[in-house]
Amino acid sequence: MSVKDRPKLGRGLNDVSRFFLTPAARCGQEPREGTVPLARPASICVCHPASPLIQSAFTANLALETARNRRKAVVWDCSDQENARLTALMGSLLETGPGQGGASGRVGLYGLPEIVIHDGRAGWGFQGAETDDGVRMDEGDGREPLVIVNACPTIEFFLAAPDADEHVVITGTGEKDLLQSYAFIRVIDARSPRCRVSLIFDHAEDEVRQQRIIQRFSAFVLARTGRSVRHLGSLVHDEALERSIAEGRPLVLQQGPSEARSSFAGICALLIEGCEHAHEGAGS
Amino acid sequence: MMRLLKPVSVADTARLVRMCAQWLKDELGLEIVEYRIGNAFTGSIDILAVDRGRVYLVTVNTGRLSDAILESLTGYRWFCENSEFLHRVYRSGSIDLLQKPVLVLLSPEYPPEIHSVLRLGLAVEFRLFKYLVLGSEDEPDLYVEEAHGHEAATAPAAFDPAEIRRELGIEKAGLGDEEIVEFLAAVRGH
Repeated sequence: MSVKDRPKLGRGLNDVSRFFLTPAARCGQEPREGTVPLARPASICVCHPASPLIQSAFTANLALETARNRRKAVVWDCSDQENARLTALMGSLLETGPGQGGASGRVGLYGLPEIVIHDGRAGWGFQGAETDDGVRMDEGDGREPLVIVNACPTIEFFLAAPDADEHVVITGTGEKDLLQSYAFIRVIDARSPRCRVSLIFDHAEDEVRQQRIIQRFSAFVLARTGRSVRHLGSLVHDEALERSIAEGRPLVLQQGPSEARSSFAGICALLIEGCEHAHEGAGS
Repeated sequence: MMRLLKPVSVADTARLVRMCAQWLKDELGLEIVEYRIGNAFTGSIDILAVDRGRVYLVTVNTGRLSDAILESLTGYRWFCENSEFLHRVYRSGSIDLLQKPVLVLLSPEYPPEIHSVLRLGLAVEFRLFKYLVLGSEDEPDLYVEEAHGHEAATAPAAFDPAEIRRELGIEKAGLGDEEIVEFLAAVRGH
């Protein structure tokens, strides 16, 4: 499609940037040949049983990294803690306020697919990941939108929630933290036997201890459920993280280089990459 | 000639605290981070110390034991509320204040079975030391020994799976007592 074919070109910076700078399919363009709409988009559910705030901070950064990877992110914010709502943690980036356009917020990044945030306190689903005509949104280069669920970190939520393709459990490395996370994984396993489960340590100590803990934890989960748990690393806490939470300015986009930013970005990248590979595997 | 050494009281509590800190440094190898930290309203700690992997919140009892225990617990709460800030302020190569804290109490005496009382009643780890000041008020000598709980061997373990399930909000996860015990043993490497 050439520039002159673009209807209503020049409606705004987001439109223009999206049109010129991304290899994505344009609005109104037919899906690429061979693109088969799938039953539902890929989904990741993020949970930190002990810290809704760190959980939401991670989800916000995951959504931004998803956009950076040129995938639309549809985020369901199920957190019931006001200061841990994504609209608070991404406040400086929101284009629309609560209640506008059916979503509780949208983030448009220059030249990248948007992030749509829905209020999921009454439940979440896969709606919102389609185009206006109901066809699953395809960004043109085969990258499907990603549904990200910022869970309400309670057992009750997981007993009632729909299946997600991947569950990410963030945990401290104390015995009780690990036990709590194990309990969540047991519920996830019972509810979604085919999903993948990844574990992220929150502010863990040295590498050697991390390895020792993940080996013991994984071995126990494997013995009890037959499921393997993927370890993605440890989130670092520093002043940049605290500032990002206090100011509603996410680490990976609006904070300078720091250990925390590197850890968040690295783990998000691993997660998104793993999700893509798993989806390719599922499709083949 | 036999001399009877009588305990002396040290009116200068700051000096006593520093003597205790010196003992903790020399005998236990702790690194002293700060003295008299916190405030009288929301909690204070006489000595903040660390060693590899642990943070020690030390209270030196110079009055009634019950007051010292309350001061220790209040100081613990203050520390928990401010640990991230303290970590930022004092962080260095060997100092990590985000490690699990241990409450240390130094007192001239303890009632019997204090260990089992604390173990059953509190989730946080306590270490108790008895101290004795001899010599004179101008030139005091400090003697310290750890007060080991001899009743510990017969005291029941403070482990209640139902309480843990409640505390962690995992009652509906379906974990049995045995599974919790096995899990904790597994992560401890037993």
